[in-house]
Amino acid sequence: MTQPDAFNPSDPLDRLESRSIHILREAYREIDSLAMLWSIGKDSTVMLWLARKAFLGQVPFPLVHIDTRFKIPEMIAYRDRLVKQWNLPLLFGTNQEAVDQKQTYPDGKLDRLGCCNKLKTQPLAATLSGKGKRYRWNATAEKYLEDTDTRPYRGVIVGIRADEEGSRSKERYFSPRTADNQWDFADQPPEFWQQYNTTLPPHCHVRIHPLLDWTETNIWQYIAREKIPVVSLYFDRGNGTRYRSLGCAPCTTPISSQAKTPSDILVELSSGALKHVPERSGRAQDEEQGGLETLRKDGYM
Amino acid sequence: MRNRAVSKRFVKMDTCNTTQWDLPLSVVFTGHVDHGKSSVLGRLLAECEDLAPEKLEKLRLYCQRNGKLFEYAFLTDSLRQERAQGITIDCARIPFRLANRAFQLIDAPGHIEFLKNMVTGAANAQAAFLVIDAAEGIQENSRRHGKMLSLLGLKQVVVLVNKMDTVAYDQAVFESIQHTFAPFLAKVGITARAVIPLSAREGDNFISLSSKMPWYHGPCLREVLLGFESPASLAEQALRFPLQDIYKFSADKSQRRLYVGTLQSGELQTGDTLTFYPSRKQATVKSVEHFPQSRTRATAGEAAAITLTPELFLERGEIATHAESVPLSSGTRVEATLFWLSKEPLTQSKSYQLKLGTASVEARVEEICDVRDASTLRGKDCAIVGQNDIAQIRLHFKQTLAFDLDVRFPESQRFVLVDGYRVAGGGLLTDKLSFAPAELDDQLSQRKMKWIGSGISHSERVKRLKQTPTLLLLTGPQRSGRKALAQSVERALFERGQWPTYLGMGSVVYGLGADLSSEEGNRLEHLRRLGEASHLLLGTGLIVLVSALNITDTEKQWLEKIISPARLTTVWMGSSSPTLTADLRLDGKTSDQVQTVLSYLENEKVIPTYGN
Repeated sequence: MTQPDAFNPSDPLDRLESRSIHILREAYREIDSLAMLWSIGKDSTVMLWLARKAFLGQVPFPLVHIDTRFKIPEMIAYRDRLVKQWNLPLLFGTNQEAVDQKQTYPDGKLDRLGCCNKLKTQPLAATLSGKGKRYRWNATAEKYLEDTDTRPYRGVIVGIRADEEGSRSKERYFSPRTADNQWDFADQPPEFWQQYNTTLPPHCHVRIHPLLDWTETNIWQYIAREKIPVVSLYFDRGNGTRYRSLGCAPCTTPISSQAKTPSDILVELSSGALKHVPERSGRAQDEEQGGLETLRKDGYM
Repeated sequence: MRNRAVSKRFVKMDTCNTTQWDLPLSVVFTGHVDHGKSSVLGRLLAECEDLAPEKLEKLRLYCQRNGKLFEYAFLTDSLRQERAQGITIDCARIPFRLANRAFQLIDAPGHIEFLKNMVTGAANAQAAFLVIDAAEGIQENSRRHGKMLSLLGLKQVVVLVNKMDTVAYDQAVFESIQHTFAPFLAKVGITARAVIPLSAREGDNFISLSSKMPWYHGPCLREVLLGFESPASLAEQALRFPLQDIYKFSADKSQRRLYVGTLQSGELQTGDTLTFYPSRKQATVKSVEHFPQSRTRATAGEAAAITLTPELFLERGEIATHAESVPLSSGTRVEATLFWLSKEPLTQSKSYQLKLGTASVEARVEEICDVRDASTLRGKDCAIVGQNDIAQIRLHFKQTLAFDLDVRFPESQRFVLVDGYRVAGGGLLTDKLSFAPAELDDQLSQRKMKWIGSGISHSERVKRLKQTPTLLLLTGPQRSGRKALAQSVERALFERGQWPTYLGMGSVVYGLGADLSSEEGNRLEHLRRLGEASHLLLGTGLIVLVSALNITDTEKQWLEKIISPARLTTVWMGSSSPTLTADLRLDGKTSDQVQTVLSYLENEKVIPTYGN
C-alpha cells in the first residue's frame, strides 16, 4: 500500500523533486561559499521550496535577488512578505548608479540588451564577487542593511530549465564559469553518473542548475501540488491577462488568459492554447540580435 | 534483427494504456559526425507537430538571412557556433510528447573532439538511436559510439540508416550496412532492437512506412520510440544508501544528526538495522524525516534524510545496506574497465581523485594492463591511455572504499576519475585485488624515513629485559591447537621471569582492522596490520606470540620485512606443510610441546638458558 505521504517512484514530480534535492545537497556539501538566485519568478520560487525540503525547513545559504529597480512592484512586495514569513536569508544587489544616471532602456539611453547587461548582468557579477554593495535582510531590525561581509560567492544556484531556450538546453547541472564570468560552452567538462565537477580552479565559480530537467508544466503541477505561494502576477486578476514569464515592467508583456489558479494554468497548458507560443515570448530582450545566448555567455542567467 | 517480429510487438505497445508512462524517458541520438543525428531529431519534432510553427518560421528566416539551406538540425543546434560550423558541439535536451508519453530527446555530437559531450548525453539516457549515413556507411564513430553505449550500460539500442534518399532507397545498400554492423554490435555486447532505413530530409519511415521502400517491413521510427521501456524500479533490490552528508540543523533547532542521501536501490524504514560500509558500523533507523511532514520509509530514487540510534560518527561516502542483506565489497586495490576523455593521457603511477557514489578517494594507477582503440577495438601497444581510448587498469586507493562488483548495483560499481579540476574519465570496477606485496617495500621505506625513534637503544632493552625481541608465530591448519600452545608458552616464559605478550588475530581484526571485512580477500592486509602492531610491541623489547592459520613462505617473508630488525621464529603445528619452511615443527607425537619451544628459544639465544 502506498502511504499518502510517501515517495512514489513512478510519479514524475517525486522523481524531479528528489533529483533536484540531491543536486542542492551536493552543492551545499561540495562548494564552500554558496548562494542561490531568487528572481521572484515561479521557477526560482519552486527552487527555493526545494531548498527548504533539502535542508529540512532551513535555507543554509543566502538568497540573492538582483533588483533592477524596474521590477513590477508586486514582485518586491511578494519577496519581502515571504522573507518575513519563511525567515529567509535574503541579500539583494542593484546598479543604483546606472538608475540614478538614467543609463537604462526605459530612459532611452540604451537598447534592451545593453540595459539587461547594465541592470542585471553587471550587478549580478558585482553582488556575487562582493565588489558591489549588497543589502542583507536583518530580521531583528526588520529592514535591509548594507552587508558587512564582502566575501565572493563561488557557487551560484540558478533556476534555469533546459526547455526554456536553446542555449539553456545545453547546460550542465554544475556549469563552470571562468574568472571573467564567461561560459565556455564550446568546451564544457563531461558530466555523467551524477558525478559533478565540484573542484574549482582558483578565481572561477560554478553555476548549479537543479531545475534543468523540469518543464513549464512540471513547475505548475508542482506549485499546485505543494501549494507554493507564487506572485499573483502569474494569474488573471480580472482583466483577462496574466504574465507567463516575469521580468522588468518596461520589457515584459502579459498574455491573454483567464487562468486564475495554478490548476487553471495547467488546463490552459494542456489545452494546447499556448502550444505554439514560446514561454518567454513576453520577454522583449530575447528578440534582439543574439538574444539570450549573447546575454548568457557574458554571465546572464 | 528480425524486423517483422519486432514490429508486431511495437504495435501492441502503442495501444496500451499510457498513464503509466508519465515519467519522461530519455533517448539519445548518437552516431558519426554528419550522419544526420540532429536532422533526424529535428524532423521527428516537425513530423509529430510538437513544434511551434512560429519556431519553424523563425528558423526559415534565419537560414534565408544567413544564406543557408534550411536544416532541421538547426532546431537543436541552437548555439550560433554550432550553426556556423554545421555541427553539434554539445548535447541538447528536448522535452517531447508522443501518443501521450513523455520523452526527453538528447542530441549528442558525433565529432570525435566532443566524445566527452556524447558521453554526457548518453549516460543520462535509457535508450539510444545510432544513426548511420547510408551513403558513407559505418564510420569510425559509428563503432566508437556503439562501444560507448555498451560501456554506459544502455540496453535499448536501435540503428537508423539515414539519408536513404541519397542512395536511391536501395535495399542492397541498407542490407549491406545491416550485415556489416551486426557482428560489431554483438562483439561489444549490444543487440539492436531494430535497424530502420530512413530519410530525415524526405521524412521517410518516420511516422509511417514509406512507399519508397516497399521492401522494408520493420517498424517505423515512431513505433520503436513508443516501444522503448521505462527503467524498472530498483525498490525490490537490496538497499544501497550512499551517505551524502550529515546535518546538525533542523527547523525545530534540535541538535540531532540527520544522515542524508539518495537511495540507489531498495527501501528502508523506521526500526531497520543498517550496516555502513566500509566502516561496518551498525545502527537502527530512528526516524525518516521529510519537510514539511515526516515519513516512515524511503524508497529507491528518493533523496532521504534519516536519524539513527546510536548517532554514529560516519563519513560521507559510506554506503548503508540492511544488516542481513547483500553485503558490499571493500578494499584498497581494484581492477577496472576505463574510458578516457581528457586530452591529458592517463599515466602509470599518477594519482587521480576517484569518485564513486558520494565517496571520493585518491587512486594511484598501479598498472595499465591493456589499451584499446574504442572504435576498432584493436589493442594499442602503449603505456598510456590516450583521449577516447578504453583500457583495463589496476588502481590502488589511499583509503578503503566500499563498492559493488555486481551489475545489479551500477551506482556503486561505476566511478569517474578527476584529473585536477575536471572529470577526465569513467569506468566500471571489475575485480577486487588483494593487498599488493610490491607496495610493501614503498611503504616500509616511507615508514623508515618518517620513524621517530625512542631514546632507549635496542641493546639497552636487551640488557635490561634479558631477552632478544622476537616474534614467535605459531601456525598450522585449523584446530591444531595454535592458540592454546601460544598462551601456554606465554605463561611459561612469564613464570621464568621473561617479558612475553600474546597478540591474538581477533584483537587486531576487530580493532586496527575494523574498516576491513574478514573475508579472504583482505587476509594480506590483516596480516600486514598484525605485523605492524607486532613491530611496535617488539620495539619495546617484548617477545610477541601470535597465532595465524596456514601461513605461507611468501607471507612469512612479508612479516619478516615488516618487523625487521626484530627476528621472526615460525612454528608449524601438524604434519609437514607444503607451503611453509618452518623453523620448528610440532605434531601430536611431540611429547612436551611447551618445553620444545622453550629449548629452541634457548638455543637461538632469544632467552637465557634456564637456571643461569
